[in-house]
Amino acid sequence: MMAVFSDSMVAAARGLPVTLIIWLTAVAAGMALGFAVGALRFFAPRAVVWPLVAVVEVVRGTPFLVQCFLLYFGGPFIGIDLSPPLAGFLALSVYGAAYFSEIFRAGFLAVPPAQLEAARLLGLSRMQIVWRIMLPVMALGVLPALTNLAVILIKETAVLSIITVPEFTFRLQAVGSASFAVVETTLVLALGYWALTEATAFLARRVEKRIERALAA
Amino acid sequence: MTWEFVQEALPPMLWATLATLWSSAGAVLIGLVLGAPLAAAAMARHRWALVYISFFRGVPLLVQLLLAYFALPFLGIDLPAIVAGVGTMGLCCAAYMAEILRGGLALVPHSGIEAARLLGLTPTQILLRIRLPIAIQAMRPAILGEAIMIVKASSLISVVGILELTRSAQALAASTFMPLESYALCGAIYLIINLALSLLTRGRPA
Amino acid sequence: MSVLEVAALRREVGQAQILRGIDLKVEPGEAIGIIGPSGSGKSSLLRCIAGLDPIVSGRVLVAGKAAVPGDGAIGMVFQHFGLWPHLTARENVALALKLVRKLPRKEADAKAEAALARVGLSAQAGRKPAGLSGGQQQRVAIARTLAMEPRVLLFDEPTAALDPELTTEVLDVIRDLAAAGTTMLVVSHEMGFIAGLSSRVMFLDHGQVVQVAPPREMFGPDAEPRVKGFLKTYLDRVAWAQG
Repeated sequence: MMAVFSDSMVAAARGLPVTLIIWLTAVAAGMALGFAVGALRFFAPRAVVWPLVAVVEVVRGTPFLVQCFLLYFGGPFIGIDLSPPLAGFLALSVYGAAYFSEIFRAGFLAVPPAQLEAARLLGLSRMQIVWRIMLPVMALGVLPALTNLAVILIKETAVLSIITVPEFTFRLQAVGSASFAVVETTLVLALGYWALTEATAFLARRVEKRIERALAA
Repeated sequence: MTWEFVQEALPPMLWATLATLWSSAGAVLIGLVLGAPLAAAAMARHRWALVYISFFRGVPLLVQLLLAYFALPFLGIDLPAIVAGVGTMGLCCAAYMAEILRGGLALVPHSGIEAARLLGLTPTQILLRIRLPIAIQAMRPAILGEAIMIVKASSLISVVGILELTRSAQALAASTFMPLESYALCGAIYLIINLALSLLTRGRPA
Repeated sequence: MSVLEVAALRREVGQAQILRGIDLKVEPGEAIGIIGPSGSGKSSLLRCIAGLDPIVSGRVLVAGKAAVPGDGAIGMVFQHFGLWPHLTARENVALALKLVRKLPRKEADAKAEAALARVGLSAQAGRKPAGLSGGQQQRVAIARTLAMEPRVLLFDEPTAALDPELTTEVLDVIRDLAAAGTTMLVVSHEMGFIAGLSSRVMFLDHGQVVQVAPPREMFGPDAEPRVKGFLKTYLDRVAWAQG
């Protein structure tokens, strides 16, 4: 029993950083990519928007697990041969970007038209309108949706264990199958993720409040 | 992707798709049936309802499935894998449905509830006949969105050995050595299901 | 030379003809009041002049040149203000001065302060829109447009979104600007204000100009029957509302 416990702790210490690094980098990359896509869907000509919409719908309409399989097992057949962590990071980034882009698009749509028309008439360029008006105006509105999605993406990282990314779930399952203490290790997993998502959501709410206060002052 | 491949791959995959469809439908049904009282309990700020929602929304579904698959037999509860899989998805879905319905119940105007109370309806009648129908109507897009999430999440029950769409694609990828084609085809089927579901959202405006 | 020339302006949305050939010449310093029933195309006309809505045919010339949105020739004040909520009043006014006119920060701020002083809001320069009343917000929006010194100012129902007791402060500002020689087009349902402000009043109905005349004529006994009909129902309603 004690051995299982200490093994679990070692596995968690090895796996959690991988989970966190992949999660944080994928959230950052996905958010940046999603913002670009969301802005393009608002501004770009139809010929660009159409394929973007198609890609976003495909990503949102298929399971993350299947996307991982496609990239990790199918990729080598078309010259994309990635290590599990890299494949996991890439898959999670693209998956996140599709959902982030929807949030940003909704945010863009929620900016009152008069604010944009005023900016246009005053001579601000498109880039200036995006960065100086749209982004700050919608930031408050989309913040809860962004943090909510970030929390969802923590949970998706568990799926990466299936393509052998050595993250939290993968490490603890390894301990479980080696020691036959599967119940204990799975419980550790559940509690670990629960704590992680609750803590993230709690932190996110505090950050939201702080930003809200800074913007309202 | 060649025509021969599709011809060979499609029949078993479509067969497996049926498993995906009915297990998702079962999970959504469980989710709605459990989600409604859970939403009411959460609105009354019952502690256990809130803990339930927090747990099932805070832990990855994959881990929940592993828990049900490994821990339940240990506790002497021996369920067939399919029951454990669909049941877990349903319990998880209930937490999300509860949050959706909670949002919907909050939208029901006070005047409508007060009018019903003055007419002599009991609280249960008001919940079942007035508040829930209004909430479900208002939240239909969100409920269908959750159904789409469940269809996608059902790919995870392949992990505990249930032959559904994703599992059949894995088998095909292994036997044909064509993972790219297998998973693309599998993804396309998921996409068609979900596009059909999202058309349902758009089809009848509230 | 006319500072604004609108010729044969047409706008269609699908099958609907929104504007059916509008002609208008505005001399420097003129204030043109635009009235008419809702859906008559008043706001559309302003938006087409500003270049915000596409036109099917016709042309809009400002000082003899085709106007492009953002070239600074035309300024517009919207019914719903369009203030940027994350910026203070001063920052709202100064932003375009910095980004478009490329003024140094100090100069832009000074100019913004001056514009705010002109609408009587020096004391509120540091507040964000959420901390201002509707009337004050609209005055900031006016200052923001004014600071860029457009050739023509367009007002699209500037008081329609305001509580009645807040309209006066906005109307006063517009009246002062007109008195100072600002060329402007004003769409409004405040008939008394339009009558007192305008050098000429334009009556639009179904996307067409029914009559353009000095206020005395437009609001007098010899106006077009359609104008009189509109004004009668309008005044009846006001009289009824005022008991």
